[in-house]
Amino acid sequence: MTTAQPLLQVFGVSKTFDVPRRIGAPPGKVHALDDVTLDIAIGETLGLVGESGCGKSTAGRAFLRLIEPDTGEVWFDGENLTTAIPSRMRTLRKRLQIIFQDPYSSLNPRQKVADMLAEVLSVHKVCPRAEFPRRIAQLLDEVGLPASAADRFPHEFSGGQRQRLGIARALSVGPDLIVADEAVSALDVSIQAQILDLLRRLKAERNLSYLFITHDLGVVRYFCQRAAVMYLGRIVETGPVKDLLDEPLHPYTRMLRAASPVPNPVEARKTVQVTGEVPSPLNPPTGCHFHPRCPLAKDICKQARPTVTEMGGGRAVACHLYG
Amino acid sequence: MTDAPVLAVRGLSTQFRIGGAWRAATRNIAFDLYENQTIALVGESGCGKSITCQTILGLLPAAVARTEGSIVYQGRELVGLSDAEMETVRGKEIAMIFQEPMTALNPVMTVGEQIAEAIRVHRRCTKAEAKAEAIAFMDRVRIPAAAQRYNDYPHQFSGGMRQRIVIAMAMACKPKVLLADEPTTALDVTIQAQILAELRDLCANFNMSMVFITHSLGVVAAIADRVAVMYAGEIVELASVEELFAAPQHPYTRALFQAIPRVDETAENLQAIPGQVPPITAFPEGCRFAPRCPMRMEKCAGRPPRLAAADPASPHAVACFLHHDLALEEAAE
Amino acid sequence: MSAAPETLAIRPPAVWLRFARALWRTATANAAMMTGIALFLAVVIVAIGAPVFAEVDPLDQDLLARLVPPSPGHWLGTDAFGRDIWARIAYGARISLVIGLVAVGIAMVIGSALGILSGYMGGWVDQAISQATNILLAFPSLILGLMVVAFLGPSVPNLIAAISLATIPQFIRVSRAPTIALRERDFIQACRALGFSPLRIMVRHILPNIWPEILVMGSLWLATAIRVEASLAFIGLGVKPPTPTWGGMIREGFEQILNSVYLALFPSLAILVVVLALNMIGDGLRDALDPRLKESKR
Repeated sequence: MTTAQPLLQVFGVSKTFDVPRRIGAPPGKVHALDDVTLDIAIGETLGLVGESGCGKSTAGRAFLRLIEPDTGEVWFDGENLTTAIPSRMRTLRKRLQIIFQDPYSSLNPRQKVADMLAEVLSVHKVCPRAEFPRRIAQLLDEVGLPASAADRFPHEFSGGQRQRLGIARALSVGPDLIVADEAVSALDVSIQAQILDLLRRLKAERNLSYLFITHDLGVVRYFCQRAAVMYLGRIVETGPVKDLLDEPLHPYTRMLRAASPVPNPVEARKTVQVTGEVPSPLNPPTGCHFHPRCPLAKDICKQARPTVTEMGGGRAVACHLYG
Repeated sequence: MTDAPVLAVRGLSTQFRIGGAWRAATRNIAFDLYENQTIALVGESGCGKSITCQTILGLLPAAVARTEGSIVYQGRELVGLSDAEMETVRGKEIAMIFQEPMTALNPVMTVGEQIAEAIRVHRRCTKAEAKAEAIAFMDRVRIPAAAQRYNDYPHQFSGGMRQRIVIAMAMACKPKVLLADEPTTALDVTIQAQILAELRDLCANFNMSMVFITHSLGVVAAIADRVAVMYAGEIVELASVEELFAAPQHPYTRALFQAIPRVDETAENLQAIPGQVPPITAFPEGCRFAPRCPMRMEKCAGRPPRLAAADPASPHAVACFLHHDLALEEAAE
Repeated sequence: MSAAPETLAIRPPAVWLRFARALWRTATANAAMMTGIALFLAVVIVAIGAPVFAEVDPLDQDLLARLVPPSPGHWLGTDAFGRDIWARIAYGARISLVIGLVAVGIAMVIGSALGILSGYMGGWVDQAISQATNILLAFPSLILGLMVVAFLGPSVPNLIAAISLATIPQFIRVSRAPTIALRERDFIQACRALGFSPLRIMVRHILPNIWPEILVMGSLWLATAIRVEASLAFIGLGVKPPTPTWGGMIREGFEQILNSVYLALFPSLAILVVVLALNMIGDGLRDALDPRLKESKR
């Protein structure tokens, strides 16, 4: 799947947030992203997996420069996004889009669907104004909505339909890469399957690449070719999805896999070794962030941050067990 | 396991006043819950699983909701009890935990005091005894350093720990039945696995039965003994967890299985269920799943199929004409 | 493999229509708001049609009929120069309304622009605007207006400038907070991802979502602006006599208070009516707005 030139390359991106002082808590900094490096090939779907607060959402936004990274570089199709001037960035944005989790907050409640799409088309001069209605109907049809949806307001749609509208908006500029930030997490399973199918079809038809951010390993297995697992702002393991889920290398990936519910009463009842909770990102553990919960932790895990070890077969893991 | 169920629900229907008319949000809900058993109510949003739970505990305001049918708890009919009579059941006999633990906790009271209060409301004991017992319960649900954390406030705990505290509060009166309304949905999977293990453990040790509401078949597999699959306010299939997962019969149950992306198997395609769950104001006549059903037959639009076992010897019940024509036969009689 | 999409939900009315209906429902259910609207409209009509409603010129002196109490010839009596009080109140309404509306209009435009800018851009822009706002807010609006007029001299444009300056911080404050909340909403992030310019996002996407709040604030501050204008006139910093203003009339009435109470009473009542009406409207608007906001947050 990998080609010579990845579509998106991320090198050592870090981002810290200042946490405002609260009564009873010291002020502090949260390392939302800590030296994140990854790439996405043309036509590839990379899953970015982790539990809440691991920084996966921040990562997606930092790669699109919706949040400015502190350090590191993001390259898109041979161009450094991190140093792009605002006008160039706005042009590049046509090729980089995002869809969101919450179908209720991702659409402007005061804009009709037609106005929403027409605005995008006119800002980017995608086509002459006279063609807008046809183009809008085309976009709606592409995401499985009737043309009559155009003169309605977002609140008139169900959650799944609103998610389709968010996808239509992203498609309107003809992107190459779409960041899907928990795009199916808020939906019921039957609707979730519809949206996943839609995203898959669009990928084939438009040769899209996705950065698919999710907490659901089942969705990753179905939808992604490769996955990166995040824990407290760091990527701990990357690899092809099947290998990563069937034989996880990093102890955290193993724990995540073991804890993921399986619709099989025999498997699901096996006692799993899952302990502890994600520590506060304000005060992360030393060395390997995972060591307090790790059943295999050694002394070195408390002291040194593990480096990334290439394991062959496109797999890589940041763990002292393999160093 | 004794012969009589702890909780027997029959013909339960909850109706809401919508636009001046009474509309049934759930229809003809029936199941038995035996001692030491967990039944899962599973379905998508709007299927009526939460409403069923709230009805059992009489939590819906009489002004907007009314209940028909019967809920028998240990031989005692709960439908029609006054609020004062229900008070003696709630908490002490039947307790409930929710998806968002923060809504069940008082933010300006320490968690220890809240558990102690729950103990003292239902049982006469001194403050010191209540405190000691509260700490024991916190310890029991594996809250680290329980004695020190007795005086902490809810916001000082993580989501998983808060859910443990809510569980400790619910357990404080040693209820016979625990109603758990999506208690792990808001939690990360590693925390969810721990809470599910905790609940299994508590049920076994306290001889407690549980009604567990969830939308996730994976969670059902991990926690339930029996499963009731709900769709649009009705139970469409009721079976033991092993039978249901081995041989789902209702087209909706089958469709659900084919729509979930599994972590343990790579699927080529998911089978999305076309359309969406109808709103309460537009439930179809006959089988409510019929408009979305790939196996739809002509008679499905007529009378609603009754929940019954295809094989009279088996406790695996399904409400579908593909498997039996009971409803038609009975209607004809 | 792709499934048919979900069928479209039954279509509820458009947002503005629901808003208008909510307003109307509140107005009709809320007697206070109805009264407020009626009173304010009455004042506006009197101001516009002053020459029709008052046959006498407000500057005409009738030295033979000085300090006349209300009578058929002079509905509200006359002042120390024999000028008709009703005529002066009707014409004075023009000054009060023009100064109030223009000043609040300007403040609304500048204030919300700065507030949205401050809330959306954040960083040093926000710091600078917020600090300036805090300094201005530290002065009571009357004192601020007083200082400006004392410095520039009293005239209609200067009064408008003074009252605008005093009101701008209120609009900054009322627009900045919701902007900050909106900035984090996904649909604004989507706009950024679509390469929309900050100006477009602020004008096309943030403003339409916060104008109802600004409107409520506007109606409440219009009342304050009219009061401030009258206060300035009362202490002699208003529009120069003999132009009739409500504040100036009260001041003249005060000098004659031992001879006739009507001189001060009627312009005071006029101010009371307008301020009361605007507050009723503002409160009503806020009531109409609240359920709508809750609904859209769902």
